[in-house]
Amino acid sequence: MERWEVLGRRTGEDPWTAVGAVHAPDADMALLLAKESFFRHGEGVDFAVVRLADIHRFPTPDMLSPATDKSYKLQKGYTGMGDKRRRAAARAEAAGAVVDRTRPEDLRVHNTAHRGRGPQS
Amino acid sequence: MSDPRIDLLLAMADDELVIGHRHSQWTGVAPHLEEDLAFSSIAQDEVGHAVVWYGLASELTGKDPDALGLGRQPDQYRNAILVERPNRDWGYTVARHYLYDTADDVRLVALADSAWRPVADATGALRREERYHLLHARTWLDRLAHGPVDARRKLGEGLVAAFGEALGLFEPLPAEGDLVADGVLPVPHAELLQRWLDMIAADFDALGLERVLEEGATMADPEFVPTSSGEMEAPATLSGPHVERRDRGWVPVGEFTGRGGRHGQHSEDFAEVWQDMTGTYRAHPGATW
Repeated sequence: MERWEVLGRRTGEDPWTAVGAVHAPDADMALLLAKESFFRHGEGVDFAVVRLADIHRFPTPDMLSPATDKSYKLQKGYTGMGDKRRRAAARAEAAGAVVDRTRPEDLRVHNTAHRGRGPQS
Repeated sequence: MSDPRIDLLLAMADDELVIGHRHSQWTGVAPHLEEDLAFSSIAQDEVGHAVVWYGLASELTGKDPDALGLGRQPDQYRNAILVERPNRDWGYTVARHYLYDTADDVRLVALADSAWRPVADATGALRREERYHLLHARTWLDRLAHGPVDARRKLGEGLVAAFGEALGLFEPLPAEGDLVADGVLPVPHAELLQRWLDMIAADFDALGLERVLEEGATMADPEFVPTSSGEMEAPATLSGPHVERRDRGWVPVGEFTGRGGRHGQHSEDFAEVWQDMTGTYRAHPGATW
């Protein structure tokens, strides 16, 4: 019997996520079994099944492990930056520089005009 | 007399650093978002590989790896000219990416047998990422080679433009003989070049791109000029490289074009990439990040 992967969406805005798998002879039966197995308690608003054999797997998953230190790609690679900034500011101040702000001014435009407004008539 | 192993390490490290920097110039402007990410990520891999080689060179020279990577003058860099060229268009980018990563693969496979253990040991992890770079390059080579017509034409132009200088990746190192004799470089560059030619010729045959080798060779043919004695003579600046089809496949003949990088001679394009790459480091000596 073929294996079918089951995908569901919690709300209409959510992306599809894999929730499990069922064994079934065809798509109709797979859908029926998936509904009973995974969506009896209001777990989602939408679901689908796909034959495992139709999913293209990456053939060489060992390529996913990095060869060198890539911690700079992660937030944890930058711990202690606040301390570092304060130390640098203190050093600058001790050297006679006047530090009035240690980070650039926030120049982003926050567009809130659309909020709390009904459809235009 | 400096340790010839430094030349080998700097050739590899500088290749990786500079191609990595060129790849990173697609960040934000690649044809689509996923390839923007792919080239940015491959760029980070390549710079990471450069760090591995600079680390070993650091042990031999006593210099800080950052100083080796970013603190030298342009004529002290040992990268091949191919990697310093601007990205031009997508066809050239894919062509160079393919030619460079196949060449790097040939080099790493050979160095896995190096008698100098630290180099042999480093190749395993680096090849894991290089295999992905090859997969990425070959997937794009194959995709563009299968058209549409415009894509195939641009890929062909890119390959022809990059091919001659790609041979420069195999320019012998200054003390090549010593490195080979000591087993540090188990295979001389002339033999590596032949292995690489066999590898890419097989890919080109499969994709009907043999003309790249023919045109690459034609373009590299010297222009003959009459001398005062009436004999025809090839001007030195235009001599070789080329490749010719012989019984057993494509073989290199004559000199290299794209040569000079391993001796610190670079094209006009290197100044720009060097400025860009080293500017921050040189502007803030001794800064920590």
